[in-house]
Formats: sequence, structure tokens, C-alpha cells
Amino acid sequence: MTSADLPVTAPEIPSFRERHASTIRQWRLYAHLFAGSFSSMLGLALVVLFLILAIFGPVLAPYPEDTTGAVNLSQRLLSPSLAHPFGTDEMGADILSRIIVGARTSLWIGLIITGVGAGIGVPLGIIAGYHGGVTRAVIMRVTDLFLSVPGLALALTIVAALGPGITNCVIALSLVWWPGYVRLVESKTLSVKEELYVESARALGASTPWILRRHILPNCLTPIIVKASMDMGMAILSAASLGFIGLGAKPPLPEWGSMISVARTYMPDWWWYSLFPGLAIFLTVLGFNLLGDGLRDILDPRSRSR
Amino acid sequence: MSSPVTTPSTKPNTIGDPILSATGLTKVFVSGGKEFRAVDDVSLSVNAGDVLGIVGESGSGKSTVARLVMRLIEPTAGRIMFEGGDLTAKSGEELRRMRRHMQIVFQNPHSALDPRHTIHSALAEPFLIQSKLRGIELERGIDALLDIVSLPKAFKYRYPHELSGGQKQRICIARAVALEPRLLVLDEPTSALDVSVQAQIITFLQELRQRLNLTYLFISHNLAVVRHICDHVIVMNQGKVLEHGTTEAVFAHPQNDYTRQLIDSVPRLPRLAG
Amino acid sequence: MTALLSIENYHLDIPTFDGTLKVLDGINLSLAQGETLGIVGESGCGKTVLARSILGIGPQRARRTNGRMTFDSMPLDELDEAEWRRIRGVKISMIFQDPMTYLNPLLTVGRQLSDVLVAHARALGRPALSRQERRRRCNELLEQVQIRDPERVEASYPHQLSGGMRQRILIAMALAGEPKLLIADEPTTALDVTIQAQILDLLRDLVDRLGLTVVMISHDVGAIAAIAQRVAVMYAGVVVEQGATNDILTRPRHPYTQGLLAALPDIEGDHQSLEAIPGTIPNLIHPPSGCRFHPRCPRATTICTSEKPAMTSIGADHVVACHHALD
Repeated sequence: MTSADLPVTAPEIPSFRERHASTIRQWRLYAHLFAGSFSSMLGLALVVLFLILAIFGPVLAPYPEDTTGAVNLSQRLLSPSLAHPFGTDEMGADILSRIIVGARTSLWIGLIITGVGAGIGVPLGIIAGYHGGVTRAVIMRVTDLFLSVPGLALALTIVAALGPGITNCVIALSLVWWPGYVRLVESKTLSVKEELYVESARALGASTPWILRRHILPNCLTPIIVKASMDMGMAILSAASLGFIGLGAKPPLPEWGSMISVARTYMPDWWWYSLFPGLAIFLTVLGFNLLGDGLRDILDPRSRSR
Repeated sequence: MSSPVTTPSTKPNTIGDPILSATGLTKVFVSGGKEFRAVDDVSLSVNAGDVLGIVGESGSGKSTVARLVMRLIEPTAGRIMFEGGDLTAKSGEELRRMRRHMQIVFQNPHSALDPRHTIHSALAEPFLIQSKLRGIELERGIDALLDIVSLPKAFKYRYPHELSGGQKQRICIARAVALEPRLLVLDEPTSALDVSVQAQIITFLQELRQRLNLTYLFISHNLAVVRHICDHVIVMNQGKVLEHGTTEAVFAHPQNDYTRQLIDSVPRLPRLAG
Repeated sequence: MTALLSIENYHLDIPTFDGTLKVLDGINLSLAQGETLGIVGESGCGKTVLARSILGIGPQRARRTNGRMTFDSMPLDELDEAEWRRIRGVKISMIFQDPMTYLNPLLTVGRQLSDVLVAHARALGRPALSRQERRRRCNELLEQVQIRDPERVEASYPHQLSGGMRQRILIAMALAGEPKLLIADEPTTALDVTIQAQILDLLRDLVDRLGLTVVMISHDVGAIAAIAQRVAVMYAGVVVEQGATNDILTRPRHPYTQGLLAALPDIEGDHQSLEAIPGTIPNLIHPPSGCRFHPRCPRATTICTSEKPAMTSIGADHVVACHHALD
């Protein structure tokens, strides 16, 4: 632009509503579509409930001291009652309180595993998909290698080597979690990089990092979000599985998998001990899966034209 | 991002000099062990200020020529000269900087704009990549572009899917002329558009060429449009140049059988009365 | 002459998240046996929705709010799915813009063609054809669409054939039920000019030889001119002008038709400047009041903004909906 072409007045900036009318409309459409699906809303409700428990757990728990190792042998293995709606365990601790506080552990586990998995997998997937050639071959073969070994079995080996404990358990699961993201993002990148707008950016002289950051990544985001949502549930389930076989959290830290692990010796007479933590895991995993499904439905570009 | 806004232009464009020339351009695609010569020994030259048309049916290699000339794909053989410099010899940063002088508008405006970016962001992109315009200067640059393509300023805040085909194509043209290129490669710029919109875009392109002193390489399968807008024309079929000459000569006295068949295939309309 | 297809005051709405699209606004068309009608208009004018509605395959959420369609004295709007099966592909057939989308890439052409025959026999409750009969009929159909080596084509998969060939096969499938009415939705748009000319020749030949009635939808005035006897021009869900092809093309009376023709570059040369129609097509959620073309019309006056112009006859078989029709 020569300076003569430029308008002299400073550009007018319209109001926030006007500037973002398109975005607001898009979000309203998402909300409309999401609210129209019962299963999506159920998933959202379960996830929101889980998040509330995770954030405010210690405040909401009726017997907070029971979650830090208080022993109250006179109260042990009481069946569900008004005072203890989910009953008590072999130490006399309130199971409801331990489940509520355990939500926070599960949230951390889910967030870290999914975050590290995506954090490693997404960049690798984008690089593999965009560059092709040797880079892609190397990344994808290593990914295949990891995918060919059952994740939980590999995690088990890692935990066995590092020693049991919640931290090692999270490290192990994070290390086996990323290959799924590489696969997903690589295939999406392969299709996005053929789009005309990527070629158009190249014609403008855009560098590769610019194209990856501005065009490829944002257009790969939808499946990543959907997968991450579903993975939250799967990661929590995997961590609970490790807890169940005694490789996860150590008492008195409340963790759902470890609770069931202990509770199984009290089956079936003291059924509530294993039922309620199991239910907590079930509903959380279900919630994240339904949410992920719902997100996929509304983020599908085919719903855009409506 | 290192190049200044006002690069000293290599030399002033005088009408008549070839701004772009290609000799022996060849592109061979290999797929499944089979070779396919998409472009076979094509030579062309465009004079500054001219409009050179390339016509052909699908599979003629005309769009591949557009991409080769832009160095969006690598030629198997041949040489491309742009403003006296050898474009085939350039690479990396040098090539990236050259891009501001030659731009391309694609056939399908519906997919040439990133659906996740607002028009504002689409128009800012050329400046952010190639110039140091930022802040209020950048806003002015974007407003000026919208002025050039006669679209309201409020479009800045829209997304591509909210615009009509013609409006999207105007945005694509605005992106292409943002850096004041000297050559514009137009790859079927109107084929995805309706006729009344096509007329708008063609009229606009003709006017823009005058105003910004541009040279066009115009690729199309639509012979009527080519006849309307081009000074010279090249007819391609199966990767080869069959015929070239001034538009008048090629259309009035086609020398090649294929060219004749192509021209005769276009359905004729009865003349408008009056 | 009784009409084979008649569409009266047809209104169609499509509800969307942003509001209701008034896609068709009072369409009146009628088509006699053996006639070829071209419907021309730009994208978004409703021509494809109209064509699909004739076959009962319009958009799922579409609602007819007024008017009716009658085919061969059958009310199309009141048919149930079972009755539709006896009409679709049998009495009314359709061919589309992109033949590849409508062919199964995993089956040979011969298999797909004979599947169509089997389906028709079943829909009509006729005894199934024997293998030989189906084979004979397939060859016959392919010869009808001027395919010289039917045996080779039948053994081929769709991707082994050219675009023009695939379109011929789609036409052959459409003819399998010996339809009375053929709807062709942009049949030549995806094809190269030389192939386009061949397909248009074929359609013309079929009309002559089989006495087929054809509705051809296209944005390409040239293609319509090559085959239609009558033309209806659509704009924003309204038929603005209708008449004999030659009349419409040489003496358009509606300003939109006139603008559309003036916007076409002419292959015959004359470096005359193209006249573009200013503005863009209207949003059909809030269509312009009165005449839907008035915001872009050079002849518009106040009456155009308030009153919807009625279809008026202005000559033998030439009607126009405009308050200020051209002379």
C-alpha cells in the first residue's frame, strides 16, 4: 500500500457484540445443538458434578478427617444410613467422604495423563503429517511400536520398575498415552495440508512454523478436543485399574481404584464398600464419554450449515 | 517477516518486456510406479501489462502450469524467469521474499480461505508474513484492501462461511494484491461462481489491472471468458501447448483441429434483439 | 393438451437455526407430454430444491406451506413411501451433476444397472427378469445412450470410465424404468465442453426418439438453450419469467433475465464490456418485500417494494412477473 491509498482516519472499532456476532451465533448454535441431545446433557451434568466434587471436595465432604487417615474402629463397616449414606470402611471412615475427596485425585490423574499425552502426541503428529518422508517414517514406526504393546501392560512394567505410587503411576500412563494422538493428528494433518487455504498461505510466502501454527493446528483441534474428552474417562479408568492391583495411590490418600482393591476382600457381605467407588468410576467415565460424543456431534462441520 | 515494506523494485515495468517467461517447463508425477507427464515441455512468456490466457479442458495441465510458475510445486525440468531473475534457482528465504511480487488466486474461493479465520485475520496474513505493518497501520492496510475490492468494512468480523462466493473471491483477490504484486496468476478465478457474479469479478479484475498496473496469467476452461479478457492465449491439451497467438487470431482462425473442436463445442446463444 | 406435470402456487419453507428460509415462493409451472423445459437460475434460486421436490427427495426438514404438485393426475404431495417407490425411478427419473457420487465404486456398471432393473420389477410387483433378459435389457439401455461397446462397459468399474461415460450410464439407469419424465439437474456442469456437447446431443436425441418429457435444471444458459423448448427463469425462489426459449433469449422481458444474459461473455467475440448485476442474492430468511429482485433492479420503483408482481401474459406462451417489464 502506498501511503496515499490509506484512509486517513483511524479505523472505527465497532462494539464487542458487533465484532463477535459470528462467534456468538456459532456458540449459540453449538449450545442449541448440544442442549437438544439428552445423552450429551447427561454427560455434561456428570462431568460438571465430578468437577464440583474435585474442586470443592474437602469442603463438601461430611467427615473431612476420615479422608486423611482418621481411624474410628467403633464405626467400622457400617451399612448405609443417614449418617453415612454410603456406609463406612474397615477403618470406620465415611465412604462418601472418601469418594468425594477421591474425585480430586482422579481429576489430577486424568488431566496430567491426557495433557502429557496430547502434549507429546499432537506436535509429533503434526510434524509427521506435514513433513512426510523420513521424519514421518521414523515417528510413525515408533508410534506403531508403542501401539502394538497393550498400554496398560506397558504401564504396569514401568510402574514395576519405578516402584508403586500415584506419581509413578501417572508418569507411566502418560508415557504410554501419546501414540493415539500421533495417529489421530497425523491423519488429520495429511488431509488439512492438502486444503487450498494452506497452499494459499504458502503462496503468500508463509514459513512452515507459521502454517503449522495458524492453519494446521486450529483445523486439527476438533478431533483432538473430542479425543481428549473421552481420554479423560479412559485415563481415570486406567489409573483406577493400576490402583486396583495395588500399584497406585497408597492409603490413606483416597483413590477410587485402591478403595475397590481393599473392598474386594469384604465382598459380598459388605457390598457397599466396593459398590459406591465402582459407581463413581463408572459414572465419571460414562460422563466423559457422553460429553466427548456430544462434542463430536456439534463440532462436526456438517452441523455448521444449519 | 524481515523484508521491509518498501523493497527497492528490481526495475521499472515498461510495457512490452516479458515479466515472466518459462522455457521447457515439464512436470512428471510418479504414482504407483507409473509416470504421468502432467506438463510436457511448455514454454510461455507474458509481457508486462498483458493478460495471457491458458485454455484447456480438465487434465490439460493448465493448473499445474499455474502452480509451477508460482513455484508451489517443483518442476521436473525447465526454467522460469521472473523480472530477469531465475526463479528456478531460488529457494528458501529468497523464494519466500520473491512471493510478494507474484501472487495467485485460486479457482475455489470456498476452500481458499481458512474456515477458522475471520476475514480480518485472512487479510492481515499477507502483511504479517511479508511486512512490518502492525497495530493501527495494519488496521488501515486491511481497510484499504476492503476498499479496493469494494466490500464494507464490517466484513472484517465475519467468517468465510457467512460470505457469498463472489464476496469470498474478492477477499482472495484482496489477499493476493495486498503486497502490490506485479504478476497475478488467476487459476480459474470465476469457474466456481454464478454468471452474474462472474461478470462482476471479471469487470473488477479488468479495472484492477489498470489501477494497480498488473500483469495477469489467466487460466480457464471457459473460452468465452478467455476471449473476453485475454490479449494472448495458449491452448493446452494433455500437457502440451497446441497453439498460441493473439486472442483474436486463435479464436478467429484456429490452426489446430483440437482448438477448432473446442471452440465449436461451446453452445451458442441466439443474439439479443436490439 | 393436458399437462403431465403441473405445479401450482407451490410454497416451500426450510426451518433453520437462524430462522425459516422461504425457499420457494409461489411456483407455477406446467409441462406437457413430450415437452422439454429448462429451468435456469443462479445458485440459491431454489431450482434444485424444486427439482428434488418433484421427486419427493427435497431437504428433510423442508415444509410445503401452500400449493400442490400433480403428475399424471396424481397428487404428488399426498403420496406415501410405498406409492413413491412405484414412481421414483420408474415414472419420474433424475440424473445429477456429479455421476460418480451416484455410482457405487465397488460394483461393476453391469451389476448396478441390473440391480436397478431388479428393484423396478420389485417396486412394480412384476415377476423378476431372468438373467438373460436382464443382460439383454442392459445392453439395450447402454445402446440407447450411444455406448458402442456395452459388453466392455458393463464389465468396468465406475472409476475406469470417463466423466462423460459415467453420465451416460446414469442416464441409462434413469431410463431403465421407461420413465415419462426425466429430471436433469445440471447434467453437464461437471463435464468438459467437448463432452458437454456430446451429452446435450444425447439428451436431444432421447427426447426425439423416446418422446421423453424433460425438465433440465442448469445455471448454464448455453446448455439450456441447446435443448429446451421452453425456459423458466428463477430468482430467489420465484419464477420471474417463462416462455419459448428463443423468445426469452432474444427478447427477455424481466430485468433479471436481461441482466443475466448481459452478464454472459460471448464466445463470438466483440470486446464489449460485461454488464454485471449489482449486489448479491438476497437472504431468504428475510427476503425483500414485494418483488424479490427489487433491491438489485435498475427499473425498481416504490410499487416494487410493496407489491409482489403477478405473472402476466405478454404474448403467446410468454409470461413475466414484473411491474415494469421491458418492451
